[in-house]
Amino acid sequence: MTPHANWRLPAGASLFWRQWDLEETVVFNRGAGSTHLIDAFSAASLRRIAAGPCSFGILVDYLSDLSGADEEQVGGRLGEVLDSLQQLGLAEPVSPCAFAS
Amino acid sequence: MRIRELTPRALNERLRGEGIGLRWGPFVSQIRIELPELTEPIHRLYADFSLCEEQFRDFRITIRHRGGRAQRAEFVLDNCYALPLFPRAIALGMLEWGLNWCVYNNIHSYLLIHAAVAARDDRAILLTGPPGSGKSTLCAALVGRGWRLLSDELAVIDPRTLDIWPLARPICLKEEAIDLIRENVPAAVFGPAIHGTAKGTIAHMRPPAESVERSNRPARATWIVLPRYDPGFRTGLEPVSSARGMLSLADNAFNYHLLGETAFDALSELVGQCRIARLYNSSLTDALRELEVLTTDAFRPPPQ
Repeated sequence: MTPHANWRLPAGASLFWRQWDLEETVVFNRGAGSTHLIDAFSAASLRRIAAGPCSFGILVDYLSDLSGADEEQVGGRLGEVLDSLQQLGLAEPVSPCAFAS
Repeated sequence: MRIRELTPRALNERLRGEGIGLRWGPFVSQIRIELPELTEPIHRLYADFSLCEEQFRDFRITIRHRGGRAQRAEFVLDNCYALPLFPRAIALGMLEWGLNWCVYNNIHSYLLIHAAVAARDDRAILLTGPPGSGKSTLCAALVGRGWRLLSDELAVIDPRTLDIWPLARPICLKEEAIDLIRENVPAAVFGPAIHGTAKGTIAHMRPPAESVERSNRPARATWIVLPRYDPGFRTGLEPVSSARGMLSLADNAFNYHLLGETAFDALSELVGQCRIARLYNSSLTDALRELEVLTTDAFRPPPQ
């Protein structure tokens, strides 16, 4: 994980969501034709990224506000989740410079 | 005219001539067979099927002898595509397998799930899972208890309406399941045991006449069961969330990747209307009791 990177959806990704309860979400990536089961924290992170590219810090603030958990706790968990979303092809880091441009 | 109304000799002449037209659910096949030893099993297993008078055919199938003394045969689709040669002794098994192969390789207007399906009052139970999980055995036992057979192999789902269409053809059982169903369903009619297939010894159970007659009537998915067979299990049900149920169906679909968003939408709607459970199974009697609980109001999954 690159903590200082910004995060966005990979090019071509187009996400569709289904949620039946508060704990699990199924997300379909039309770009890749893949379907994934993710937990609530991952879903909240991915929904924020899907709304627009954002920095790690913005994600931490957003998720802290959403969950009421402290930022340090959220930051630790978020690193793992972003790694996982990247492996699934659902999110990707970009350098802050690229993000700025 | 039903096949049972033909003499075996008349059926043999038709099979070796132009073939016979058979409707199974939404599909119609022309089946031509040059191997006379298949006539009697087809006469027995397809006794309640009507010969199809329509001209249109989804699949034109020929099974013919190849290889001289090598006693091999082949399955040819539409006179242009042949499966690899196989031993003539397993030709009946290859006919049944090949008919399913025709569907899951060519029909993509339906969402196709690897599942056994039976219905009661047009409410369907889907038993889905990998080979060896006990789908066909459970399906045959349910059919023996009066459930309508839709298919022992394929759930054919209309993605627009979520209707499940029947393919009420013979149920393929393997190894120990053959005797288990013979004991549990004494009225069942079987074809010959076929040795040496990729699944070991198999035998086919004739679909009940009522299932064949109602094969133009779809059913509604109501229960999804993910069976797992292991002699060491304590038989029981475990509720499964809609999300995990959907992933299981997607994993067991033949054409989910081709249908993409259409399949995603259909499956997510379908699981929303179903009770879903994993069935740990070591005893057919106990498993049937558990399925009875699931398919009545006695089963109450915890709120999600």
